[in-house]
Amino acid sequence: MAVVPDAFAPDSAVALSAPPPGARHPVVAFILRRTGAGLATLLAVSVLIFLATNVLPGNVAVVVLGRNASPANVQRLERELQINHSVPARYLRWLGNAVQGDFGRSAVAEAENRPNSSISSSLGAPLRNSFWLAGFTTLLLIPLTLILGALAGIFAGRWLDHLISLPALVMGGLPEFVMGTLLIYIFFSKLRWLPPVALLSPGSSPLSDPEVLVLPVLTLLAVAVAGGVRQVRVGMADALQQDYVQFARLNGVAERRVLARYALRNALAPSVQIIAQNLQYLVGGIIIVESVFAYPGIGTYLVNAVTSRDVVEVQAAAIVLAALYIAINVLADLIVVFLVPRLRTGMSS
Amino acid sequence: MNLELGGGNFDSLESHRLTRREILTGAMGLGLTLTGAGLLAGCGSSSKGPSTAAAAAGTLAALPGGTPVRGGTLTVGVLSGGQSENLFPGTAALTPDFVRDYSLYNLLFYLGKEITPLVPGLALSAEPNKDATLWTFKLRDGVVWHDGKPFGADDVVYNFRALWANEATNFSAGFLAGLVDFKNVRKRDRLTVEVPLNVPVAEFPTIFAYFTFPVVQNGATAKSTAAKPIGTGPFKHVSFTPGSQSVFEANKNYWEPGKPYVDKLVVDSSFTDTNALYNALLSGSINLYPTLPLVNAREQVASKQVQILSSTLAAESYMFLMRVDKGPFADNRVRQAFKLLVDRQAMIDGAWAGFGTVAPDLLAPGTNYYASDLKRTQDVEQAKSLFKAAGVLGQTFVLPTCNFLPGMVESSTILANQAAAAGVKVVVNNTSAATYFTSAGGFTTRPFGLEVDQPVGSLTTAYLSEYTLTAPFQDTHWGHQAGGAAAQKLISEAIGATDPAKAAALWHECQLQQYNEGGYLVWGNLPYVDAAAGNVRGLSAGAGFSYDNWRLQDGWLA
Repeated sequence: MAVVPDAFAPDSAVALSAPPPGARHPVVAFILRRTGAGLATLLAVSVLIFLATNVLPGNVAVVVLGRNASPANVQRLERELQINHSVPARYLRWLGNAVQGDFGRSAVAEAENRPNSSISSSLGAPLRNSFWLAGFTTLLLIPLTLILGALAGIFAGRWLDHLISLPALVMGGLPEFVMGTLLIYIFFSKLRWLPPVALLSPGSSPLSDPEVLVLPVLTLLAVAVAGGVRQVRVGMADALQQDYVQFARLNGVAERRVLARYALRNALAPSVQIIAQNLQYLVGGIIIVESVFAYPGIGTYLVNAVTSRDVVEVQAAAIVLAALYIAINVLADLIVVFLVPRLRTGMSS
Repeated sequence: MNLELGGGNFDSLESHRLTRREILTGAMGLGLTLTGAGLLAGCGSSSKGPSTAAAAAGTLAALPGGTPVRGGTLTVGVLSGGQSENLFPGTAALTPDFVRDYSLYNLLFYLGKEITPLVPGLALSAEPNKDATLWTFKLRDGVVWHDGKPFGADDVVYNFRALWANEATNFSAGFLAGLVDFKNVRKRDRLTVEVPLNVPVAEFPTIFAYFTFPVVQNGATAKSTAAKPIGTGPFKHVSFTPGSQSVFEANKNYWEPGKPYVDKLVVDSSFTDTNALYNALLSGSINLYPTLPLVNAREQVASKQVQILSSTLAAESYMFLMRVDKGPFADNRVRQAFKLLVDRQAMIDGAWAGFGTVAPDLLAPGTNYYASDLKRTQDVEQAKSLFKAAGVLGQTFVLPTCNFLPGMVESSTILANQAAAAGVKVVVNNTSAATYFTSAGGFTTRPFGLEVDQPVGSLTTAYLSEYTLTAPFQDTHWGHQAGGAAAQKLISEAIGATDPAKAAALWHECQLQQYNEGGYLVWGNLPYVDAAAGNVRGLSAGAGFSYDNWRLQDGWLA
């Protein structure tokens, strides 16, 4: 969860208060602190991932080899996976390589004697595919969340609010696979407008056939927007009740200006966090949506890795997803600081 | 007699299979009554099995024919095996592997549409000596590998000596362990291979119709195959991305004249969800969906959006295994009680949407000497009294299961419900499908579990697979129980019996023993139920795997 001061509570900016003379600029210090905290979190996560995939019951080499687990093969794979080394030594080696972008070689591919089994190279295409899926979703997610949430907040309790909030309540409660299936039913089974699967041949980009992206994006969007809209609505409704908004109105400021300059802008800070949460959700939600639509992204990659018991691939995919999750978190914190002048003021005053 | 199976192409072979009369006449001419090669359809006192009814209502035994249209791409969709997928046939364990192996390579023999008679592949015939301890394989002439080299005896000798003798390079090496004198397998001439055996095996060639025995090129290894697989099959390798997609092009020099009809074959194994696969089929993104969920198949039988193919013979056996040597099932009364308490038809209706036929605790339907006179009827009261006599009434049995093949979890749950009526409790433990059939997951060591048998060409192959001491899937530990040595001796005698009458009697005795004391509760036989998009033509169903041994070379697009 992001650690961000409440934009409406000046006290929360205490941690960002003015530095002693000669000290680092508070914004820079904040960035460094948040980045450092993110890296520390990632380090802790890396330990957990490594332990979880290495302290499994049974011998990893035997599990990976399956029916091919002859003593000679087990011995060979144990040597290649360095199972005989101590866990800390293996962890440090894995971490050192991962930091340099080398996630090792697929354990199953090693077991199968397959050449070119570098995980770093096989991760590229799924990551790119997922980037496009998440990217298009984000492009639509942010404005939709803000516009619908703001409208619902402005018209709280009125028909437009109900028109937005009720579907949001329903969609927010549906799991991705139900939403995906529902959309497939409507747009493929009934209307025959869109393909129900997003098959891509290896090496091809979803941009070459953008039609395949539509239903996966809609599914992610439906689930993510729904939650975000409700939260932005609350933020907007709260902002409209604040004294400064009432004061602006009493001073005869035009309603449109009140909404844009006073209410929306101040409602934006918590909205950034809400959107960040939704983006973090995408990192996890994408796994299920990719499976529903057979989309060859990082989620499918991870499911495949788990299915074939490829511990090295699982480690790589998990640490990349964790890094993304943490990066979004840190980035959201920084954006909030830049968006809300009072926080920066709090740092330097 | 030369057990010649046919000429140059499959179509002509289909119509030139030997009749029982031809075989018996030829065998008498040799002074030998042969039971080998699974070629003697109908010989022996028992019929081939209980499941030779027509394909399930509403399904097709063959897709529409007509004049084949050349060209196009046939796309097969299958669930992903991730990085575990491979191109080396001896270690194939997943559906995407089977599709590719049967397209890239050829077997010596193939299972027939109703298991027997076998259909010749790279071998045209197999001829035994008098006591079936030396087999002479005659190979097909004019076959070339994908790299242009001619196929011949050297290739087959290499497979025997280097690959089929070794469990690391062939999961089914245990079938041949102790039987084949590997060192003395030799090339007699360019197209003839002699295989000496340590013991007589009357139906020896039927073993090579098992799915792990496609023939690779002389010198090929798992490593070389992973980089560039070279086969003799109807399709040539273009690209292979495990867990994603593999592309093959038509082999213009294929030995079946005129085939394959399509230019390209794509095996899309990027799916991690059966619903996505089903949707891909309905949308036309893929043309073929083998072994689709039976509920979907039943739905399509009614709606006919796609074509559903189903074999006329239900040859894949589903069973619960019970270890006979130790643990709660070492007492045969407990095993018998479980066999008696099951309502098999209810299990088929509940777990398989009504597809399939009931099985009477016997393996290998459709093979020669299958004991079709043995039936099993439910008797809950007797089951209860047997449980009581064994002192296990009210006891709990833990049944590990997994969602690997159609109906495994469902049948486990149904068994648990039915067992309650007989006074015992079965607790179903749903475990990982990824490891269920591995030693790490308890395969071959667990006392109670599930097992599925692929179709085999003979009782010999079935028993070498499950019951002999070297059997690779020896999960009931048959032979390790009290009196096990005599049971093993009986199997050896049956395997070696060259006289059909004697073989029939011995195999009946083996099956009766399994029926009465065996560790398998075989409750149903399932046909391959496969789907094809509406524009696919030419394919047919068979008992030996989907699309009749994955004969995708027969397929074309309308």
